[in-house]
Amino acid sequence: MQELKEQIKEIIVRDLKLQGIEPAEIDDDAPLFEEGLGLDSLDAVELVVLVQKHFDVQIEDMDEGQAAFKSINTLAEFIEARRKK
Amino acid sequence: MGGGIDNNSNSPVVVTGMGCMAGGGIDVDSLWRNFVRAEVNCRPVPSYLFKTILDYPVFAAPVDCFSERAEALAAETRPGFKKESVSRTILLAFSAAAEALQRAGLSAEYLRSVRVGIALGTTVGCTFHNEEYYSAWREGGEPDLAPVQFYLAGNVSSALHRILGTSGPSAVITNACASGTDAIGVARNWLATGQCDIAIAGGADELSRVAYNGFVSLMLADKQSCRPFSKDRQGLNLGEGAGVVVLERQEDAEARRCSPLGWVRGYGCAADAWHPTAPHPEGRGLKTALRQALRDCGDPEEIPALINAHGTGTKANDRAETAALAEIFVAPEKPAVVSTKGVTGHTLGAAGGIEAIFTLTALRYGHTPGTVGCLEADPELPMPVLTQSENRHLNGHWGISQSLAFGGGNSVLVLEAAK
Amino acid sequence: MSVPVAISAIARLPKDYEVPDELARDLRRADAFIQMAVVSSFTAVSKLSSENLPPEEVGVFIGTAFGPLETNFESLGSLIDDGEGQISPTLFSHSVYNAAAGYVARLLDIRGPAMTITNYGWPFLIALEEARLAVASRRIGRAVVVGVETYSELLADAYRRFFGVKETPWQRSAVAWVLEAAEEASGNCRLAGIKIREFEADPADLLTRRDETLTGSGINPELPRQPLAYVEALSEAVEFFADSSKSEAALSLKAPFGEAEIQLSR
Repeated sequence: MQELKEQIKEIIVRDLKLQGIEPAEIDDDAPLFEEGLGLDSLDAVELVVLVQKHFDVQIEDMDEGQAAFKSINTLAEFIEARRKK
Repeated sequence: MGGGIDNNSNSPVVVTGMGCMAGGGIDVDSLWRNFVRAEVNCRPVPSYLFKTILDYPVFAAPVDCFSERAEALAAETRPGFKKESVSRTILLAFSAAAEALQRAGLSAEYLRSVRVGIALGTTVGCTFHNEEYYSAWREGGEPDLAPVQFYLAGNVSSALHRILGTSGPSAVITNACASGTDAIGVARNWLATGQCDIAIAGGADELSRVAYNGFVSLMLADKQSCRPFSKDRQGLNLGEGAGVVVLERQEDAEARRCSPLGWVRGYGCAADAWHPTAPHPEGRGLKTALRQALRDCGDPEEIPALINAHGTGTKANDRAETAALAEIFVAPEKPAVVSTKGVTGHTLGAAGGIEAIFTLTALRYGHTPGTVGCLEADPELPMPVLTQSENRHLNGHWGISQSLAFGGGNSVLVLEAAK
Repeated sequence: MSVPVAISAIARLPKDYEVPDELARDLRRADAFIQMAVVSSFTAVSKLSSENLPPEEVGVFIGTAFGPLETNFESLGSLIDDGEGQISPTLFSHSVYNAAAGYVARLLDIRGPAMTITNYGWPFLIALEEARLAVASRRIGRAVVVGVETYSELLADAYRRFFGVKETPWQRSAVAWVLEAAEEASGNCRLAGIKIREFEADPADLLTRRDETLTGSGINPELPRQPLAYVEALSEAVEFFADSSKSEAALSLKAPFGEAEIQLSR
């Protein structure tokens, strides 16, 4: 699970082109959207595509997405529960 | 050469012709019939357009989207013209233009004797989307250069000038979903300031695999036919087509004894300055554009009889758009608000052109169909809209057609029908 | 009736431009096309000495021949490489030509018209005329007008193969002008009018820009063979005029694909 979280942080910083922050600096529980990292709705749909690409996990709609994207922890749990082993 | 705005600045601009070729209708009469009959012709992407594994339905124009009328006109103005030499977007645009020119009673010979301005909106029609060429080149190959030449000959307005043999101002407006509306605004300005004598304006866009995938990735597309303003709306359907109007200064149309279909009375254009893809939640830019357009036509006391909304069927658009309308039209008597994308799909650059035609036609006939695809309106929308069964008689001759674009642009036309 | 329109500021983006710190965060996802449009606009506006206007009274007008062509291809690449249903929504939305105008509007808080126009000949000139009309008719009090090109390696390769040469003469760049209603303006040059006529063009001429000239400007009429050379030349001509003692100038652009007249006055 820890490795998954680190992978997710790398993807977020690199593929969402975040400035001035290292993956290791992202707090597992910090909100990703609004406050915290300040991601927006375009980042949200980009993240859906990235999760699909890297982990082969589908997110059907943004209601599902919003819940999963609350924090690194929730996203890691979401992916872990759904990815094909 | 005059400086600044010349004497024509107050000259009313009339619409003397309208034409379309789209998934929603192969000419203006079919388009109108499809609205009235609530014909929803969306289907899986036909193989003649592109291969896809995705199942989001689209409103595709016919495989042969170059009308007979267009063929005849092109044969006259550019003997030897071959359809294969231009993009599908150009064929759509030319078909619509040919119908509009015919309705305006303008011969090819006459067009060559005056200054013709061509302003067309597009989103896909300006891009280089030849996947084979790109793939081959990326792998270090030296693919045949024909697709690059095709791309360089692909500016829609320049192409129409070339086929028609006309000359005058030329612009392709690439304001995403508001392009067609803006193109008509630009053309009207050209006429009002004496840059040209006849203007051909509107928009055209073919369906493209890239755009299709793009809207799916943005989670803005519906797997069913779209449901604008509905409680359970899930997004848009893409469509393709072209909608074109012919515009002139009123005195010029009168001089050649052409009765106008109506007028472009006002135009407004304003940016949300908010987000790359989402509209301002309260429709901030749309409010500014509406105020500008209304001011432009002298701030009429009566309300518009009809508002053709952008109404794509996405959660965000329909909410933002009605929020803006509710703040502008506060009087208890409300304009009839309808979305037409349930019959046409979202034709991107063409939408503003097709919808100006719908708006003017409804105003001329004095009634509008309801919003096809909207069986039950979302009760949380702050502005009442017409549901599918609510066909409405219109109290008045003028109305609004508005567009909200990707990137936050908002554009509004005020149109009046001739009695 | 109509208001005289002044050219208040001109900013040419240097080859090695830097994104100002205050814009870096908002430009994190932006491609070079957007960055160049934003930075050149920002620089031009920062040269103004006139008062701030309400945001609804300022517009942005972008003219481009090739649009965000690099991003267009990256977007295509994403579709090919990642398969359907997985194209990057960020790349796709940034490949739409008006993305740059949206960014300029947002970062400079411009809430008047945001217009993007494309044409292979003189798109900046078409945008300039739209902007001039908008200011002259009092729809807005200020307009930022941008000419921007990034080209792309694919286009450069096609150029080299088509003409059998080893190099392409282009360089990605951006130029931004600010037009204002003359009463409020800070410049010493007015844009009195523009007229453009387009001719049927051989696609090759649109790329090579052969025989493109600007006369009446007091500067060398022969333009370097680049799609943005006319914008650089017009900028130079305006600065030359502003420094001179002439009361007016009639600039004439000519090329195989068209002709245009630009009238300057005081």
